[in-house]
Amino acid sequence: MKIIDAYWEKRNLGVDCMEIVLQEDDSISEVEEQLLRLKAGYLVLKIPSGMPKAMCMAERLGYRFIEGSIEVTNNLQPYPLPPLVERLNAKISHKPMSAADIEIMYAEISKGMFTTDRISMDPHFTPEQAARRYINWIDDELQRGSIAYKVVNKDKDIGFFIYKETALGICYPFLVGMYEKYAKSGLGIVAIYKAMEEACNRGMKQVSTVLSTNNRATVRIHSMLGYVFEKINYVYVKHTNGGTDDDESRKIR
Amino acid sequence: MMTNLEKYDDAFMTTFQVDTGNLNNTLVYQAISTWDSVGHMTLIASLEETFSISMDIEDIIDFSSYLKGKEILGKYGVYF
Repeated sequence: MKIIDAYWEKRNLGVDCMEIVLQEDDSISEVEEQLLRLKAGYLVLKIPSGMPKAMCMAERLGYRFIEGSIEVTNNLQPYPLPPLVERLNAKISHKPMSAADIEIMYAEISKGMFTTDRISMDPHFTPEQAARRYINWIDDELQRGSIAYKVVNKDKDIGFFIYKETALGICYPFLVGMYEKYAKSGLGIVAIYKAMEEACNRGMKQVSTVLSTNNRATVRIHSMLGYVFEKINYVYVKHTNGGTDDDESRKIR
Repeated sequence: MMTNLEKYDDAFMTTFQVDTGNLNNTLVYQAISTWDSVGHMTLIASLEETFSISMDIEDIIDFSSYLKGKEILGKYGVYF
């Protein structure tokens, strides 16, 4: 078991957060003892698939299931794209963002671009908090050397991806999004493929990323693009500072 | 021999696994879980093959509903 002080969530969400990641050989009774000792307003517990006793323990301690988290990889071997996707991909380009482009991306994210992550779907948090968390995350990563790319159709920016290299030869495009006007264009698959193309251009050997099971569309895209599903974690959360689980107030978007 | 409308409807029903009752003005992108990016590409590819056409990227982007799709196909000589 790993216990991580997710101090960055204080800035993002205004709460103290601890993330607990279980390992497959953890003793359930020892994990339970540790969990009972943790003090934080927001607890995030990640349980590898195949540990039903840990899942029951989490529920007994008041944790609630919020998403499955799937680690996927693609070894960037030649893989046949559907002909239509290949045709569209040839017409769409990607370019590194300028400072002005980054501001446009942040404005688009602030409109509520992402709605399926565990923060967006949690009634204890607001859509504004979820959007701010993404912006802060991108900001941090850009300062660490990640690169923001815009995806362009003719002269129009339609979306973006953030390119990060995590280890020798491994690329982690941790965020891909479509701008509001193109959110229903069907071109999400091309934006995701553009990140793979950039990884290829840079001589990467593998692309690795994490998907939420709440985002069925992106799971389907990665499956179509030949990604291998490596590992699944079930993610549970617990709020210890009260608040409400009532989702009615959040149906305004 | 199938009419253009029957061919059009068949592409939707096969791609999205819906029945004729779903084929109306409320059927828009993301209104059903199967009409996502992958579903959109599958639908467009199916329509292109069925009607022997090649759609412009702008039309693929604008193809946002069952109704709008009929209008767009008219640009390619497919009438209903």
